[in-house]
Amino acid sequence: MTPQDEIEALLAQVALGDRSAFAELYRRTSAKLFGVVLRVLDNRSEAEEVLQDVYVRIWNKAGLYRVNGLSPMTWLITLSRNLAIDRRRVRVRRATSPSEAMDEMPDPSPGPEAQAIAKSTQSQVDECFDELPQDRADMLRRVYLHGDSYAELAAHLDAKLNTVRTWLRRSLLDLRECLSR
Amino acid sequence: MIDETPDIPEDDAPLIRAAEYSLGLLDRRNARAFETEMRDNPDLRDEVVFWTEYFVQFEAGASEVTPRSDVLRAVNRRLFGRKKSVLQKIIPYLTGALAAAALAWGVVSLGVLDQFAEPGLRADLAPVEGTLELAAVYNVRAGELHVVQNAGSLPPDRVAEMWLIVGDDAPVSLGLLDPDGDTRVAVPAELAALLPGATLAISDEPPGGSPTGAPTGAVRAAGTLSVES
Repeated sequence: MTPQDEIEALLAQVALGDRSAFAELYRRTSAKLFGVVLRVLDNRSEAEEVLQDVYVRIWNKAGLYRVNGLSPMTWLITLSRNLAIDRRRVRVRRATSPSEAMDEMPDPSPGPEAQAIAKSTQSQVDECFDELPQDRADMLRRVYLHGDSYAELAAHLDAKLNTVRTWLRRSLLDLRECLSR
Repeated sequence: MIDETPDIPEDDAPLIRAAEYSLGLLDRRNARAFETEMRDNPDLRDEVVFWTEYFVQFEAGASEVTPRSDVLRAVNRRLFGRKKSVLQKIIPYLTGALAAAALAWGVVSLGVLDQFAEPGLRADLAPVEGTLELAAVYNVRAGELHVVQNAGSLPPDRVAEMWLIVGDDAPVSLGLLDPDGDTRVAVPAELAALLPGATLAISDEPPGGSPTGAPTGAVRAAGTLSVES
């Protein structure tokens, strides 16, 4: 059994209410998923709260991973990342009223914790990704790994939101085209 | 507001939205709208799967961080805390003169025994017509049947309805299955006694369920409930 198969088997048992499988799944995946959540939130206690939500969600929804077509680890990472991003968006909305949100974004630079975690993430993806200009590749990485919104990305790059959106969409199209070659 | 960027050709817009959805760049309203669109469009779903699996490669080599051990404790408390409190209610009786009687009462009326051994009823529903495969587990304590779809699908304009068949009796509807593939159905205690050995069957029905109260479509999957070993 590959590790992927083992995670899949654990999820299948969790879907049927097997608590020992759940404990084993936690043991195997919590450090990985906590890394994902902490990188997006850059705040340990908030990240631990979200990690709780992640595992409550896993327990309740473990049966779903088979119907969405994702590999089990991708499903777990995506679920974690989505909950962390939801939390991050709520935090931004609280910090600024909607009308100010564009102009007065809190400094979106990753804090020390997130930076330390991101350092080791310059992993190779593929040739198509390498074909992107460096700054565009960094934008995509940043959006994925830190969960930046367009507004946060624009604030970070000191560029107009619409401009940033056009850059990023263009990069996604280029990437898609290269990947389907 | 669905904001279209002028220089993106119209045909590419859904593909871009799929990537943006995978990255979490759509605002809440656009994300919900996209999910609705995706439900009826398998190509769009494939596109989201494609991007999600692509971007997850960024995670390779990302640092792992061990969370504090009380996170797991908090999760267990949130998920299973209720059980403990029932036990705690029982424990004081054990020290009293009525311990045995109280315990027997607990076993019979609260299903306390279930907390130790957790025997459950389980059915694997195999395909009858088509490819639908499901597993169902009855949790005595919660009085709940949990049904998980493992494979297969129904024609897009049909819904899955679940039936309980006891002996030669007519099928009794247990309701529609959730389209997301994960369904919990409350089964009242008086019905629960009939479950061991009963058949669970899934039929496909028009939206809203069988109009007659009996199955009208094809039987898609079926299985027998038996005590889990």
